[in-house]
Amino acid sequence: MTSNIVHSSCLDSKMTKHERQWYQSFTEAIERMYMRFLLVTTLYVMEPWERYLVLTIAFLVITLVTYSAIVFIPFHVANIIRSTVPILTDVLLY
Amino acid sequence: MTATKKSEQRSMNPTHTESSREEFEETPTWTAVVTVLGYAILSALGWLRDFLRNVGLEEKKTSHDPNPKDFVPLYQSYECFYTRNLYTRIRDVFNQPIASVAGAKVDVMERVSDDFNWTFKFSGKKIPSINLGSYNYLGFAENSGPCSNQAIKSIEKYGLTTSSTRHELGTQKYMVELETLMAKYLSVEDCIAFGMGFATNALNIPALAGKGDLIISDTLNHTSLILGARLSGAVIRKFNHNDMKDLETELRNAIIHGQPRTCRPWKKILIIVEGVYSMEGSLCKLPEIIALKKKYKAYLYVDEAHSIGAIGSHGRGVVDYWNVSPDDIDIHMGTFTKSFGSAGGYIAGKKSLIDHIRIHTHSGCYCPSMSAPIVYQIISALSIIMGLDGTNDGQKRIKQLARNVRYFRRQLVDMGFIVYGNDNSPVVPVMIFMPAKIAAVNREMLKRGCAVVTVGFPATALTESRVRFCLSAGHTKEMLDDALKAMDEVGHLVSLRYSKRNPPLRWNELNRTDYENEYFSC
Repeated sequence: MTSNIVHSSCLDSKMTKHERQWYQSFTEAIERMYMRFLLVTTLYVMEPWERYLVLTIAFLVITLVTYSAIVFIPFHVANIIRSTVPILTDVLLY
Repeated sequence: MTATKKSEQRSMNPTHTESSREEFEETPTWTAVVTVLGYAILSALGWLRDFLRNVGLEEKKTSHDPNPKDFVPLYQSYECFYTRNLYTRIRDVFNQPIASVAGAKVDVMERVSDDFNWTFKFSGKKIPSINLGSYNYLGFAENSGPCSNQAIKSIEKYGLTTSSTRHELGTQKYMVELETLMAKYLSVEDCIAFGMGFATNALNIPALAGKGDLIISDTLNHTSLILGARLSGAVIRKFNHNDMKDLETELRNAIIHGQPRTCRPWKKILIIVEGVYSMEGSLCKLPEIIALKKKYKAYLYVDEAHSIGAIGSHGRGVVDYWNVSPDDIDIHMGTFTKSFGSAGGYIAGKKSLIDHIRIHTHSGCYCPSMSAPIVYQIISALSIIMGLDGTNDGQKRIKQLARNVRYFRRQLVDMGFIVYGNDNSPVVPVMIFMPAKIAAVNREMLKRGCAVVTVGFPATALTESRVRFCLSAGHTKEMLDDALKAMDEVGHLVSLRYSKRNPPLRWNELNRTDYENEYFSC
């Protein structure tokens, strides 16, 4: 489907070369990136409902990891600093 | 000139030392990781779909065995899981029906599918495209010309079939003519021809080896050789692809330790290699194998299915390419399917060997003999190649193929694709690695007018899928340029330029005068 768009845009581009220059290469690059994304993640061979399922699961996993990172990392970092820095200063001074 | 006189005049140097490199670039790590992850995602989805099908939420579209109690289930291995869940998703790029002669150009019939490749309907449209998938190395797959005229005349004279096996009434005059001509072509004493190339291997290796023998075969040998070796009942050992040290180790171990339990010496040791390996594009290292064979007194069987007619300055196969004496190889085997545009296979060698095969081959009493038009196609193609018809059309074809191969391969390598194999082999595999790209490359190339063959598991290793171009003497320079332009665009769209040795270049960035000078000079 995306390849059709790219190929037809290649054909159209030969006819209106003047208008092609500023936005067409940008859309072609976007289409190419989308095609490569589909191929690398093998979404290209999946049926539409499978694509939604895989993307949903991937999105959920990424959200979960990001949430844990944002909520818990500052607390853990502060905890570590609080528990080691006084001991370090004691060791270094004496 | 007899065969013995010719052997004294040969040296062991190959005729193409300048550029007979053979390269197998390593898979880039990132690509390998992504490929394996891609297969993992698809396998997980496959388990989900299988679960849905078993539970009943989805309809079972394959034939399924009823799994009765106390019976071993029919479908167990990974290959069936793969066929159901991965192969079927991209099934429209495999087994594509064609609607014309599969020459340099072919008409591919267009198919549409409503239910994701479980069923197909023909739309009626024929897509004319450049044929880069047929093993048409010398361009003899034509439906007009001297070969087809001779084949048609032979039907009028001999009919279509003898309806008999070779041991009964199947040995027609044209079979004897073909066999003597083939023996003369290969500079050996005698030759025997069979109706099917696969069967030549599968049914004749049992006649040559048996219990108490050892067969040492290359890991990447064709299925017909493996089947023949298994049917023979001999012990089979493998050596790594084209690895002469490994072969020597295997030979030494075999001779030192003998047969497995009894430690008796082997009755004979048979080394089986191929001339050109069709999935890798590599050539076997014949002089080194012959040196090993003579040192350890083993026998050598060379399967020249893809190399006869296509390799070598006179088209006589790997024997011609490496410039070795044909007497050093005990059993020459080849097929007529690839370079001669016909069907069938042959085995050639010393007269005593061929006499033994004539009596003991399984196909002698079970298979009907070859049909007249097929044999006359081979005879006329052979006469053209050998120059017996008075023109130099044969040499022109061989040179055209060599020129096409060098032109095409060099440009692909310089564009940054990973291309396996020897520089001179007409089989050009370009690596794709990822499963989804197999379908994408095939569909995009067909849209741009090139019919190519993309292969994945089980023909290759799971993570080493590739697109395999088969060049032909029938391809003109314009066709090759169109194919390279299409491959360049598809490679850019799908991102196939993996090579680390050559930087990725677009086709119009290459210095094409260099290649064209080479093309027109030789």
